[in-house]
Amino acid sequence: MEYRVSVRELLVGLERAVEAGEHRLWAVRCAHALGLEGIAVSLRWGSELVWFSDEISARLEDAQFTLGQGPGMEKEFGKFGQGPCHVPDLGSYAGERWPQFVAAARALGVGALFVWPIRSGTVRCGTLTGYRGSPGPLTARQEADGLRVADALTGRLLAWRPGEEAAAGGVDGAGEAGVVELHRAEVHQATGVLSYQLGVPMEEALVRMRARAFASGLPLTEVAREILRALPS
Amino acid sequence: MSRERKIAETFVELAGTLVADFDVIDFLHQLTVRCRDIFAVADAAVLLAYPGPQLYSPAPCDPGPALSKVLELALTGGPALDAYRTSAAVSPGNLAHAHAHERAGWQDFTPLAREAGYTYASAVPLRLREETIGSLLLLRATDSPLPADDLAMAQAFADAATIGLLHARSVRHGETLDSQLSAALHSRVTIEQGKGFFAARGNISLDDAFTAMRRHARRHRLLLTDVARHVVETGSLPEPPSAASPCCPAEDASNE
Repeated sequence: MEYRVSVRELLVGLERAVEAGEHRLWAVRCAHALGLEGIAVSLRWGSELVWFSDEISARLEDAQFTLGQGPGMEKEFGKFGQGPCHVPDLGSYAGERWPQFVAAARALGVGALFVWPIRSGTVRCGTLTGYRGSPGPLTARQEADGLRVADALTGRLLAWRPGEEAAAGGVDGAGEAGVVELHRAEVHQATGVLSYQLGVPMEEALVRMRARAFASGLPLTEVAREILRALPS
Repeated sequence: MSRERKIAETFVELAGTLVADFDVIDFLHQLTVRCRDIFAVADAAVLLAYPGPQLYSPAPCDPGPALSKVLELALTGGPALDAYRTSAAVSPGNLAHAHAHERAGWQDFTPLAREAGYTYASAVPLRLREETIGSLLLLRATDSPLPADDLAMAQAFADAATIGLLHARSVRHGETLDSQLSAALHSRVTIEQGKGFFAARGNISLDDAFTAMRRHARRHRLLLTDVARHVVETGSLPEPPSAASPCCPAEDASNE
C-alpha cells in the first residue's frame, strides 16, 4: 500500500517538478517507484526524447530511433485498445524480432524492457520506456502503475514545445503553456473536426492544433472552441 | 415497472460485467440513466480521479445544456469533489439557500448550478475498500431534496458499480481496476474524437453526430467506443456484423 501511495504522490508532484525544472529528478523517482532502474519519455512525432532519468535510458531511446527497431517503434504499438509492450527477458525471442536493437540494449547492460503507450483516445502521442538490468516480469501492481503514469504524462507531453531544452532537465519552456486540459471534451472534438477538414490522421490533427495554440499564444481549449464554431449547433 | 423492480434490475446490471463485450463507458452511462430514473434527479454524472488526483467526467457522454454548464465547476468544487475527498456521501445542499454558499469550496458551484435550474445537489463516493476512485453527482430540480434513503440507495449503486468495474473482464486488458479506469479515459476521449470527426464530415451538430453513432451502435449491437474508433480510423460508421443483420426493426424503434 505504501508503494502505491508513492506513485500517487509522484503524480501529484508532477506539475511542481515541471515548474521547478526538475524533470530528471522526477524521472528518477518515477523509475524507482515502478521498480525500474531508469525511464525515458519520448514523443512519437519526430521521435523526440523528452525526459529521461539516466544515460542508459537516453541511449536506449536513441538506439531504437536510429536503428528503427525495438518495441516502441512497432507500427501497431500503442494503437487504441492495445496494451503495453513488455519484454521481461531481452535474452529470449526478442533478438529475432529486433536483432540490432537487442544487441545494442544488451551491450548497455539492459536485461528487461517495458514500454507503455502514451496516448489520448485514438491518438498515439509517445512512449514511456523503462528498463532493468536483470530480466523478469513486473508485478501486476507495477504494470498498473506504469499505465497510470503513462496516462498522466499525456497532457504533459502535449504541452511540451519541441526543440526546447527540456530533455536536459533545464528550464522548461512548456511550463508557461501549461498542461493541456485533457478533461475538456472540446479539445478531443476539435481534433476530430480538424482531422476531417485537413484530411490528416488524428495524430497530425492534434499536432497542428497544438502548433496553432503555440503560434497564437492562446490556450488549446480556446483554439479548439474556435474550430468547433464552424459546426452547425 | 415498479420502483423495486427497477432497483433490482439496476443491481443485476451493475453486477453483469463479466462479459466479453463489456464497455466501461456504456456501463457508467447506464448508471447515470438509472439514477435519473429511480431517484427523480434531473441529472446524474460519474466523476473519476484518474490518472492524477484531478477529477474528470466520463459519463454521461451527452450531458444536456444544464449539466454541461455545471460539470466543469463540479470537478473543482461542490458535492462531487467533497464526496471524492471525504469518501463519504454528501447530503443534499439547498442551492437556493445562502448557507449553501458557505460550504467550503461550493461558492463557485452553487450560483451556477442554481442558474442552470438545479435546486439540490448531493453526491456519493465511488469507493473500493480504502480506495476512493471518484464520485457520483446527483442534481435535483424539484422542490424537495433527495430523501436520505435514496442517498443510501445511490451509495449502494455506487458500491456495486465499483465492484462491477473491478470484476469486469475485458478482452484487451488484465483485470485490474486501473486498466478499467484507463479504458474509461481513452474510450471517452475516443467518443469525443469520433463525435468531432463525424460532425465535420456530415456538417451536423456534435449532438446529432453523437446520436447517430449511438443509434448505430444500438441497432447493430456494437460498442459505442468501437463505433467511434471506426469513424475516426476509416471515416465512416462500421458495417453491421453480417450475423446480426436480420435485426428486428420494431425492436430498433423501441430502443430509440
